[in-house]
Amino acid sequence: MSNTFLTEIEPNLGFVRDLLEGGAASLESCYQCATCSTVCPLSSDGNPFPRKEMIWAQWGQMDKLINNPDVWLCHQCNDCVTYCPRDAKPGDLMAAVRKFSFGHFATPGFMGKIFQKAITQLYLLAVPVIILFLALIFNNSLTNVPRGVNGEIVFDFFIPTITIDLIFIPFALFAVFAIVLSLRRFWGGLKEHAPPAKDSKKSIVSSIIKTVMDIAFHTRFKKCGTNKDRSIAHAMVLWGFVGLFITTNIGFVYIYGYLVGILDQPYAPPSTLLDTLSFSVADANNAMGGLASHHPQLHYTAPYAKLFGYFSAFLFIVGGINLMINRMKTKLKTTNTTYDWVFMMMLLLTGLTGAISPWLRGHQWAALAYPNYFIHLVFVFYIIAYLPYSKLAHMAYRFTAMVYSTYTGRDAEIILSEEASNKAA
Amino acid sequence: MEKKQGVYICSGCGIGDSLDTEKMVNLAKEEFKVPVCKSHSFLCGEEGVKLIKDDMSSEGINTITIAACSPRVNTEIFNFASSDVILERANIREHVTWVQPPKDENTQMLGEDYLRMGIIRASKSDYPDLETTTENKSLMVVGGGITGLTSAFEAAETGYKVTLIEKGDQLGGFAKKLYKQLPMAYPYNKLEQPDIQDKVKQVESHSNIKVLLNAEIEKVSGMPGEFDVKVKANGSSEDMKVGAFVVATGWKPYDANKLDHLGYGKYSNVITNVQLEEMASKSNGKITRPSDGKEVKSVAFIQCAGSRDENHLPYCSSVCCMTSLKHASYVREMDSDAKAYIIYQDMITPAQHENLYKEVQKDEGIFLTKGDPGAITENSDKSITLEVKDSLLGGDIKLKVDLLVLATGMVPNSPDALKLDYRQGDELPTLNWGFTDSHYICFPYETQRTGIYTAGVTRQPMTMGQSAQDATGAALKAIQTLEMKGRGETVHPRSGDSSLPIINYNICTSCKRCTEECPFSALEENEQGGPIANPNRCRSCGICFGACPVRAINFKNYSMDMIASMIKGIEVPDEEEEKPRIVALFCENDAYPALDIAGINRLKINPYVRVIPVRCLGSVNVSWINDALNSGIDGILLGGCRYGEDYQCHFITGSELASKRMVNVKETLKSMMLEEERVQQVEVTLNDYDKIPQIINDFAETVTALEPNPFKGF
Repeated sequence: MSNTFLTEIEPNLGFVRDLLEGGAASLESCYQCATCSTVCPLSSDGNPFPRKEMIWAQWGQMDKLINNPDVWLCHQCNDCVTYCPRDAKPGDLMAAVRKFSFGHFATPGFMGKIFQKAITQLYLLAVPVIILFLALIFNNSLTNVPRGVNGEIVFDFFIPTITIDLIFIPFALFAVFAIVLSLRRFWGGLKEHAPPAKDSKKSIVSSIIKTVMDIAFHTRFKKCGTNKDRSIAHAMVLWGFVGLFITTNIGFVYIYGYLVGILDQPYAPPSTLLDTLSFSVADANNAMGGLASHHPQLHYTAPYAKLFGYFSAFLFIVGGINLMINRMKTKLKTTNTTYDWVFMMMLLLTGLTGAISPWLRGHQWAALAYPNYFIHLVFVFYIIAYLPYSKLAHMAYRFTAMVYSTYTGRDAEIILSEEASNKAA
Repeated sequence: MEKKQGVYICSGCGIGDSLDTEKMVNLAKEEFKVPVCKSHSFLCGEEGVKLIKDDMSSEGINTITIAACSPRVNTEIFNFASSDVILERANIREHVTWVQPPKDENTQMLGEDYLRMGIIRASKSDYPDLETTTENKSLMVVGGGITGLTSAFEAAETGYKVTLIEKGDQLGGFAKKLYKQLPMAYPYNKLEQPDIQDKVKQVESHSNIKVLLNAEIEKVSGMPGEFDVKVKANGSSEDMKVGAFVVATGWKPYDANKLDHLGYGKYSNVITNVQLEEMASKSNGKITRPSDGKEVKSVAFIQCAGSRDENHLPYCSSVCCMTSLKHASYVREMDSDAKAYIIYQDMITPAQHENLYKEVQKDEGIFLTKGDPGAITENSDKSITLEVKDSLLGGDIKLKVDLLVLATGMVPNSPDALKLDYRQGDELPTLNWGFTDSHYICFPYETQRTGIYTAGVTRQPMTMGQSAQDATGAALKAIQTLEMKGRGETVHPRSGDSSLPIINYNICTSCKRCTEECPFSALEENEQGGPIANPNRCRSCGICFGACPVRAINFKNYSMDMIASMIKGIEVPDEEEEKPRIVALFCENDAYPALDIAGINRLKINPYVRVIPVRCLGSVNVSWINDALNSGIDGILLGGCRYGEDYQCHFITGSELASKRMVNVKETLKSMMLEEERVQQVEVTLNDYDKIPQIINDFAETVTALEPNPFKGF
């Protein structure tokens, strides 16, 4: 239907080249047969994808692509890549557009540019390294770190928790500020280039709730045929991540709650289960960064919180490893760029360093424990401070696009491509 | 030659289980008094063949009827026919045994009728005299482009003398204008340097080829092997004798002045694909705007400009899409930031040219979309704004470009290059849009004039690679004609046949039907208007024979008397027996083979139908229908190839003529007080074999429903 009269088209050749280098090397092979849109289980009748994205990409239509919610409705199941008769890999094009979007909407812009390339991203790890190094110097713990009352390793004496919080919290707040600015521009772009077709506006609140539920249960993701394993692995990573976030916040409450005097509960003796996990009073105290010196007793929920933390870490790491293995399955024909690997390694290393930290500390292998803790903090910084610019930003953009999509009734029905799912499985 | 008949009945392939062959042997001996009649269980085996050969040498058998399998099979085994021996085949396998219930009364009657007809056919046949003509075995190739050059070269390499005629002052044709050419070698994805000059050098230096430049043909008369050609070269006329022709006169571009709705002629920066090629060739790849001579930064190509369009050229010229891909590559080669847009209806890059498309597609500066060109306007800086409706980008779009290129199509040069001094006109017959008509699926370079072949774009739009192949094929066929006609044999489709029409001038009334209806213009006219045969033009189809109202034309082995006698030889039971009789005249080209295939598939057919193979439905003389009706035959079914716009008749017009003559037949039937439905013509193609039983049975039902022919028993 030719109902939209577009203004003069001027292909952005630089943009096309960016996409070609950004992981969509085969995009020129597309000849618009629309097999991809037909096969995609997440593509709706009203606004099918990714065929149109392929021709927009070939014609360098940057504005249409980055202000397009469909790019984010795609969950990289790769059914399209599997079935494309030209091996044009539409799935990779969608990924390349998303990558470009991180750069385009980034606030400030130069950060977005740095994060478009794997190498330049890694250079930015220098920032947390230097800051934490300075913290060590300031704390006089560069060469000699005092031990706890029983000779145990206390990380709080290495880098005080409060120092960490004083560094990380401002960066986190700035990150939130930056991502909100980006999302505002993104939302504005969506409204301009992908306006709702009719007045099918649901309420914004219900759209948000629906999206949250979708993400929680991976309703959309599960529809992907070719890449079913990925949906499970990703769910684990997501839930693990959320769990770890909660754990951290619980810890925060424990630490500052005691300081402020909010929490002051008697300590329950450890059970045999907890015994086998080597929980001891000393351990428990040390887990709180040595603040046992302020309080002889720990909150009775602390061990459970710790268990929860371990479980989340387990989900996160196992899910992450599975995602990596999944990427390596050549039959899926995904293009894996260095950029993709760097992102995965960052998260995985964060999880691994965090998981082995208590183990190293418990065995009092100082030479390993302290550096490991340092590295862990560097990676955590990457996750928090650079979230608006790295691939982690997909959390924000996809969430926003999905909310927009639901809000404007764009995905009224998603075709449940049973045959596609079954065939690809 | 005194005839001594031998009849051999095979009982193999199930024939013996279905028919009583002994009874048939007796029939041959008693009814026809043939000196020798034998049956054998495996006639095509060593023993069977020896049986026949022994009879030929010891008994002097020289007129053989073999009642066995179809005449289309085992021809190399039953190869006894020669200038001294007549051989006819009666098909009691595919047409009797395999399609009828075994040991049935009707089956036996059917088999016996076929035997009768086979014996009669052999007895009435006469062996044709082989006429070897003084033949000239040189070729003339008309047109010095890639097609003509290739044809001449290939023929010359095979050892034949060739005269190459070129209208212009240089050899090379359109290919001379190329900057680069489409790939002609594996892997077919890189543009090539034009190599036409190599081909020109090859031809100029070949000892078997004589090149005449600035040359045109003034007249051609005669026939294959004996063409008299008058050529005017460089002002002076020359007479030569030529054996066969390859016409490779090529094409010219469609007149773009008719495309003013696309801006041509209105705006300076709208050019055609031909103009772009010429520009690139002269400037070594620089594409500039006509308005100011600056190199272009953006070019749009409109495909199907004046093609696939009822108002201009209704057909696709097959090379314009690939040419635009090539031209887009020129633009990109010149400037890696320039943009080329190709707006197409369909991207037509058939066969191996797909590889070029895939390669060119990879260039990120070439933008392809399907779409319909809308309004085209010129801006103040002389750039062109082009609207494209219904593009793949989702709606209408507007493009602003420095240059607009219209991909126009090809128009074949007029088919009158030979100025044939033929009764039916000086042009080679065309079917659609000026392209010479051949219709022959196997040998598309055939024309309706024997010994004259067309190749290249003059007969169909094609690439240079295809033209070169076409040229080679045409040269081969031209050589074949020379050789075969030199032996007195005709060419496709009755390849090897040496029978020619014999005209009895005593009864000829000069009605001119034969001279007009011959599809190959093989008959000229004498002063009285009677036909003069040109044997080397003839394809022995017999359409003249079918046209003649006074039956003045006959072939030695295919005569009025022969078929009439066969029809009369069918045993027609009295009406009380309630066994109607139907004669099916089926042409040998598609209809008869379709019946054979029905037989191979053991499909069941009505037992009352007797099939007589004819050379073409056009060779069916209406008198046979009278003969049939007078003999008490209840119905006559004519089965032949399809005619009309998408005709399939192997002799071009045969079945169509037959259908026209049916009008007269209907008149005759009325005068005989017989029903119109008794005579019908059906169109049968080879792949209709599964419908044959239905066709025949339906006709049989119609006829059976009528009263039995009152002429029975007369």
